[in-house]
Amino acid sequence: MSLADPMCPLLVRISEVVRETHDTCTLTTVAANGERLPSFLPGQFSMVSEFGTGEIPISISGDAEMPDQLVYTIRSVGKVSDALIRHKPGDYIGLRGSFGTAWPVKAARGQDLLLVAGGIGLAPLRPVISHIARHRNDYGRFLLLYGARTPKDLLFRKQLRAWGKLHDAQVHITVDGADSKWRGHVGVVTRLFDFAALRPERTIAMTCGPEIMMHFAIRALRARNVVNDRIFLSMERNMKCAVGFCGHCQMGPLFICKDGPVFAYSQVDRWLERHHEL
Amino acid sequence: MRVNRIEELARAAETYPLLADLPPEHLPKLLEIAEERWFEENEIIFPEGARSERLFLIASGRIALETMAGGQRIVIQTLGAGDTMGWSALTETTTTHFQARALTRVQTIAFDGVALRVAFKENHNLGFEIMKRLLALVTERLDHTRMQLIDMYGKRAAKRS
Repeated sequence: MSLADPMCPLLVRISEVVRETHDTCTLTTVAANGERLPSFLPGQFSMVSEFGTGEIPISISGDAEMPDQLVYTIRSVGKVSDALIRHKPGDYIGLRGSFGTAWPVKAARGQDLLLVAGGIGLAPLRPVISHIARHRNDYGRFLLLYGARTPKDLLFRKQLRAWGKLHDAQVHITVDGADSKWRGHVGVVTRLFDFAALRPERTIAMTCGPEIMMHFAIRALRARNVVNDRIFLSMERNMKCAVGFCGHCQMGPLFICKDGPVFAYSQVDRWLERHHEL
Repeated sequence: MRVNRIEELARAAETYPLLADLPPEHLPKLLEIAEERWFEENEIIFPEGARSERLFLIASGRIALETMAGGQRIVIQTLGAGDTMGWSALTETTTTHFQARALTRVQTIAFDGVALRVAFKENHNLGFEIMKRLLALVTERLDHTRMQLIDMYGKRAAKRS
């Protein structure tokens, strides 16, 4: 995408569709018409167009070191997302971006990484995990705490197993409800902190999911002496232009699309505290 | 098998929120009542709606609290090492609210509910200390239940799509 026309979408072709759950699909897109795909950093998002229907912000869920494709994990929650997950390989959609700030994967080298994800919030964190898997020796302990609604709502099932087998890694999963066939944890994601042997002075925490879940995750992190500068979160607001012009996604003095979506908690705590009284 | 060493219970006191920082003079009385109980995988520790006889501290293993809903048995919550289970044994209406099933082999420290209530009547300080901690656990469990009720992963709260 040219910097001169940030509002003009790039045409891309869908090369693969993976149905993750009953309402969520992962689309792999590749360049069309001989154009190059934009590069991205873990945590950034694109504005994804369903032509004739609309455009929505979607975090990039693929591997940032695979430049020939851009991957999006999309949950059907509205007209545009519903249309997007109905696509088949060979169909075309539009992209703008990548936009926004990234998870601090380079700054976190040498540190333990704790990722706390809820629901579709695992998708924006997946590029971080891909990075860690590629550069495992650059980081300390890797811990993923993941909560979903039911076992049927778990994303990236095969990868979850593979991530748990990485060196010095732990993956803990919980669901809010399950039938008696489920052998895993049932309960809220913050319960999983009981299994996390944290070293707060060398832990970088990244959380993404529903805001109320991040609120409780951050409370649990602070209770375990992880300081605000070491906690990062990905925020969601009503992003439209994605370049800080329209103001739809403003939170206090911040534009989520341009100044975020990834923030250090210390950048946004006062604005979140208004809502949640942390 | 009885928990027969004060040191075991003292160690347990560090592990379980229900006993954390309990004044040591209370440990001998709890020791009188405590017994070690093991449950095999899939064993029903107590059924729903039964007389609630014991308060359990889970030493190791995992347990599912289950109930029937919509014609199927669903898991409300899973518990593990350090958790407390069977609070209703401390109340006068001693009926279990859920079924507890061992998901793995489970080791517990069990306290007879009647004996505990008698001990609390005889020693209000002990009763206050335990009930104070229990209230904190109940509050935490209530918080978690509220979070589950919010249905935070439901479509209304869906993230970035």
